[in-house]
Amino acid sequence: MKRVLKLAALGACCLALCACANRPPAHALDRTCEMGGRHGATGVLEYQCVDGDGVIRERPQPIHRVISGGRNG
Amino acid sequence: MIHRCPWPGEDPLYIAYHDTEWGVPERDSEALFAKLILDGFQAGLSWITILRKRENFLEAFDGFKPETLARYSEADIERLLGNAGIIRSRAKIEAAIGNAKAWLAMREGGQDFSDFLWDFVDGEPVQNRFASMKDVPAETQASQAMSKALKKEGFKFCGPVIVYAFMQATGMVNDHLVTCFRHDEVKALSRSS
Repeated sequence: MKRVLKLAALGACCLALCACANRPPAHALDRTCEMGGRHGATGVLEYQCVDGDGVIRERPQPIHRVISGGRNG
Repeated sequence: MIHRCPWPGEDPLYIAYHDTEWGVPERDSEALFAKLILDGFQAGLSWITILRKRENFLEAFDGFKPETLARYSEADIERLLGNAGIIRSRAKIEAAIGNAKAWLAMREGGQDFSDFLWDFVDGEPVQNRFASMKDVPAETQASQAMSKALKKEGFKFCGPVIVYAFMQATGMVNDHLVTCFRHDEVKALSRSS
């Protein structure tokens, strides 16, 4: 039983690590975001953020929900 | 084998849009207005999202007829906010109504919307010859100038990046890649060709 619990805990940790892999580190959360890339049919990037650590990361999903009614539409 | 721009991918709706609509010079003032509104609705979303909902938009917004749209009331806004077939953003819906009022004000002032827009490219499509999508800009001086002028007339959701996408779609610039079969076909649709 203990072995099963240990394995489950290990699995949960792995999943959490994977989920965090593309997130900025905690010290980089002070960020500025703006529309990035092309708009329209040829658009690739929809939104990009320069994080506090100076790295540009694309975040299309959150802004869809925030500014465009994507959650409802 | 047909060579086309890479951005439609494998989606049949997207491919049809690329092959038959995108980049075709549009000179009808109401059609240009409708396209500008749809481009505004796209802000923050992918174009395919709008394309899939386009028929719903046209039905819900009375075909984007400026005269009708300009008279929309709060009840109409509530109706649209309850329509799951469109993008339910109050800011964008209100902007569309405001833009219809701006369009009408221009017409009443003797300014044809199509002429107004096409003047930014001297009345004829700009024939670009991009070999790669990396070469295609997100905005240009012309789109910046058009955006500024539209905002001055009271339009919203028309920043220079949105406006450049609008210029590409309505054929004010030919941004089909030179390797794409549509590049020369669209070029041939220019008045001066």
